[in-house]
Amino acid sequence: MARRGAPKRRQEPVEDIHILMQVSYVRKLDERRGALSRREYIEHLLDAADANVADLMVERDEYKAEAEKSRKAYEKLEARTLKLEQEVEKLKLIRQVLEEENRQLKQELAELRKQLKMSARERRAEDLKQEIYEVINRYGKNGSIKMLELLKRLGYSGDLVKHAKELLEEWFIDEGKILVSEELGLKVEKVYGFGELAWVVKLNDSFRFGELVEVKADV
Amino acid sequence: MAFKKKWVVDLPPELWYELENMKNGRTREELLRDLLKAVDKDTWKLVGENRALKEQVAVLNEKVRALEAELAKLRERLARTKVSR
Repeated sequence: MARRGAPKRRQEPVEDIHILMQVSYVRKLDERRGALSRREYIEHLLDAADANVADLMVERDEYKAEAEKSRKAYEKLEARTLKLEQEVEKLKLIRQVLEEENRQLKQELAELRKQLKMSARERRAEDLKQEIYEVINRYGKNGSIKMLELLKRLGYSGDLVKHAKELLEEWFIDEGKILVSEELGLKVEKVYGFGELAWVVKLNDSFRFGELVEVKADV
Repeated sequence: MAFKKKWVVDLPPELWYELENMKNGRTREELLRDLLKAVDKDTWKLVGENRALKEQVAVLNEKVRALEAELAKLRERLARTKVSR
């Protein structure tokens, strides 16, 4: 910690030089140095003492040329910096536009994927419906067939109870005594006291199988 | 006898030695007077001009270096922006 009252530290090592001079000369010297500090004045004096005008003029021209060169370099760099700044700004704007475009495209893609997923299910439903209708038409009675029979005819093997449960879970909505599938155009009637394999699968459209329907004539 | 006064200057050691070596048996006051006598107006003006120019060149060079650094940063940013595109 600095000692209180200690002299200020100087940036570079300097030494105080004391020159004892006549009072009038001191005044004169201080007037002549003008805005220069005493140190600068002495430096000027030393520079001037061992220099000749010709050398100084050459030196001045060199400094002028160097200053001009530096000024030109500075101007050139300044112009280049400005140009680059503009380019960076332009690219930033382009990036913003592209990011916005990208966001919209991603949104559209998600929408398309959703639609595609839905139509895939619809396609599967259509295929399955066609297969089940064929089986019922061929092996069923009055548009109905037992679940066990249906699964076997559809080519399922192994754990048929599991397959029946999967089929019902994926495509049917449980409405109590029956299960309904709008997509497959089917309903399944539960049989009290028996498992899924004993349940009866029926077509929703009963007209196709010649069921008797009472038609009242308009009077 | 004329009254004398201390004129104190703080100088870097090398300048102090230079002055001391130039004394050749003269007092510091005599040395200063002789130096002032030896310097004519034109030389003095040129020395001042050269010192100012030297300072100007140093300032300009410093500015150029600063701009070069800024330019390098901008180039880097530009490259990054292009890559992320």
